[in-house]
Amino acid sequence: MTVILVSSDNQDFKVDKEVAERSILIKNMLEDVGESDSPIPLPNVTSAVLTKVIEYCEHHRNDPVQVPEETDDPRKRSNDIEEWDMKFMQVDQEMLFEIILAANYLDIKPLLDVGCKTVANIIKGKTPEEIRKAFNIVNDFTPEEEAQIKKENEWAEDR
Amino acid sequence: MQFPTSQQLALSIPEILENILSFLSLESRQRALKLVCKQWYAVCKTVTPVNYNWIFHLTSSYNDNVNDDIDMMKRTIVERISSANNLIIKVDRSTLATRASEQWLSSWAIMMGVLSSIIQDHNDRGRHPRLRTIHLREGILENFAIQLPQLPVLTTLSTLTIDFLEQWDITHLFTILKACPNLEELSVKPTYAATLRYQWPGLVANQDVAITSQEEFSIINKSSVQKTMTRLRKCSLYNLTISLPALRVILEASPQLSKLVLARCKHLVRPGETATFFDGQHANSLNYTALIIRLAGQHCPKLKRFHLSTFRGSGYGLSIPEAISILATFPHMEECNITDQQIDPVLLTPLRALTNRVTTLNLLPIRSTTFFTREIPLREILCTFEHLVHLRAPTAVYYIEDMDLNDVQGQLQGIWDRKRIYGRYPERSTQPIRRDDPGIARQYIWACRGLKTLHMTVGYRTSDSNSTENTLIIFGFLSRMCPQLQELHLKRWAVNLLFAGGLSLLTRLQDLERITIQSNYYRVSEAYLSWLNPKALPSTWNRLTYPLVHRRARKDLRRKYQELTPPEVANAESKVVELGREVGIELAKVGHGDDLLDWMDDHYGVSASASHRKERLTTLPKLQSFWIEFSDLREASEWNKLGALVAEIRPNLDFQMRMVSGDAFYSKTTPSAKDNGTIESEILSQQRALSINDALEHILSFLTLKNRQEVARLVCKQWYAVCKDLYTSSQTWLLRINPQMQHHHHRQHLFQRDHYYTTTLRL
Repeated sequence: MTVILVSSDNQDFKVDKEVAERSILIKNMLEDVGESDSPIPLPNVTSAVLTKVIEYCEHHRNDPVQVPEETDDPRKRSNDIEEWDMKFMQVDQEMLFEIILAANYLDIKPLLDVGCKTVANIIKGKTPEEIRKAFNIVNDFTPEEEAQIKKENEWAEDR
Repeated sequence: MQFPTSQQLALSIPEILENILSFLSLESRQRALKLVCKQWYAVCKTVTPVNYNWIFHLTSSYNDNVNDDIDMMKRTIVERISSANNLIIKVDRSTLATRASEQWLSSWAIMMGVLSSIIQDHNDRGRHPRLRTIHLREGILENFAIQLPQLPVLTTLSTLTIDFLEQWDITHLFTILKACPNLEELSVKPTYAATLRYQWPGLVANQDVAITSQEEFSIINKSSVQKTMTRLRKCSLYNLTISLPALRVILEASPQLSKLVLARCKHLVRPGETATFFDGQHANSLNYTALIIRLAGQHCPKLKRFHLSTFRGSGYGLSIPEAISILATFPHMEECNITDQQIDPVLLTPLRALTNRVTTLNLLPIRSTTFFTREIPLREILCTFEHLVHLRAPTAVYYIEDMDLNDVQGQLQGIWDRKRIYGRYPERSTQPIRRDDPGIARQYIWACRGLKTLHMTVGYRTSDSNSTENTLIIFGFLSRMCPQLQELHLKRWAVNLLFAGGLSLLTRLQDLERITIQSNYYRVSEAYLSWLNPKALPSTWNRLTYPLVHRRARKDLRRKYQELTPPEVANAESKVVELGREVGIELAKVGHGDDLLDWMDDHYGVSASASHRKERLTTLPKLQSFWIEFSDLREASEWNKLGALVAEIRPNLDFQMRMVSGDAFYSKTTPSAKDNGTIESEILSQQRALSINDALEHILSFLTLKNRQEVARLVCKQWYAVCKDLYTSSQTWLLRINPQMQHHHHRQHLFQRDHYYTTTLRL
């Protein structure tokens, strides 16, 4: 069974239901609507991004569904990205964040995590100033505030 | 108005930002991320890891703005402890010198106060605090009397580890048990490094006995331990001053106990009016050890591991009869620990009757300085104890002569004699093994073929020699006798790493995970460890080059052994070989040059079929670490070459050539004026690290941040890079490796000094 997804620029995407249901949003929608052939509009996702997202879902269609609140792995790491995912994420920064936004909107946790890990890897090792530069963030701390925060660390660093 | 980019949009959604930041280390969040902007700062505060170790540095260096700092400290502690599951507290190295100073004690008091209020807060809200384990590292608890009573009641704590060296007594023990009523694991023991620099005092005079019987009585009766059951399962107590009544209270309350260590404890006895320490002299009048064993047997019948050592004049130990009594008392006991100067073979007989269920045997030296002990009948043990899986007898000597099943040495000596080359071959003082007598032959074939751990010393009855034929005998023998070996720790007076020495024969032990060879002298020139390469063959190039590479070894072997009777002929009648075949071991070639030549043919030979090679050539697939330890590291350049070679062919192997005394882990907490010296020696011994960033990072992570900044990063560009990496990610590192590191350093130092066995082996 297939479903039709409509991107924000009115392009139709015909995908297997199984693939589309990697998105919890779509899964819930389909459950609510019941058996229906009507296309599903996704006004927040452009066709370019949707193509990528579907590519991801196709590749991971047989993955076991992630159990939420799985807290067995105590530590979150950003260096355990699978090879395919890593390649998949080799896009420009704009697209990377588009994918993250789409994954967030469509509620595809594994994709969101991979995206976030990729961003985390970009952040890793950067100084605050470098991070600001990389993401066009305005430093809204006063020098005093900054000094104060730096001092907070002094008690608890690994030295 | 300009539309926000997808990036700005994404980062402005707190959930997404939180998700991103949660993949970064706490350290980097603290260091850099929260300084980015106010939004990031706010998100950093809300990201709490599911499970993390918080390493807190107690320090007294905050003299200025004391009140400010205390507030700050309190806030930090509240912030971190609320979400920490595991707490490690250690002292800033620079303040070790001023330890127990007023400020330092007050830091502790503040911290405990905050801890207590957090727990109170959690309880008020009906939530359980998350804290599960606390590890108080060396130097934190220097004053039990003042510091321990400040511990708040930690109802969720299940594991408490305290690195503590000094003598302590039951007052403190009961304080701990009271503060942590649900403790499952309690360990109060000195670190290895601490034991090294500590001179063990003899027993103190009687007037120093701190606790009077009255005091003891009131401590025991006041304590709530008596009334409630403890959940204790594992309890390791070192250097405790304890008496039978106190021990009874604890054991009575801990029926779940499966592991009990009472090592180096001073046992207070009160034969009459005055208290005195049990010093082994009472042995005749009052068998105190037997009393302890009986007491434990009454109350903790589930004990599986029981390590007990009592003072016996020259050190702490446990004799065979006492070990037997432990085995007889506890039906589930799996482990047998004997710490004795010598072991009478006669006593092995009653022990043997009980070893059907004992899989672990630790034969530890009584004195810390022991290099080897010849008085332990290691061969008799190995040849009779069928069920042994782990044998740790680091100082017990196994003789090469007893491994020379085919009398290769005797034959070689004959050749030397014939050629009138006197004084070049060590003379044998013992008769060769009588190989025609099955009864005698049986005494040389190991019974415990399921052995997984083997720690022993290999020696020579007369003068030891580092010759090729000796090492060929050793490795040929070992590679056959314990096919399931996982951990080999071999101590030798001297070690021969030449290819002809036959170290490569160990590749027959496919399960080997860890090899450590400890030695005083080494022979390393032309050392060649290319056989470690896990995927050497079957490329044509390799097949062509390896025989060339090893041509010299081949030539040497051929020349040396050419006049020897070929093993097939010499061993036609040998009962040893026959018996070996019966149990599935092929012993005919042990010690012969043919053994290694066969190996070379199998691995590199053109004749060997490709499929055969493929099968054989998964060279030690499970090998994790290979350490060669020396008391002295000369000729560093040779080592560099070797290290570089191994790093290239087997990058994931933890290959180290190290000084026995080099101790990077503890140098961190050991006050030392020679920081630069430490780094230098590490550069030498960790050559492999120079080419592998991970290893270097690991090494440098042992240094203090200050040290890294001031010294290490100035070493070279690569070091600089790694130091920088550590700067921002050290928290991650510690988070990630700390639990393993405990294990790792445990392993790392387990065998460095015998001392460790008698003092801090985790039994």
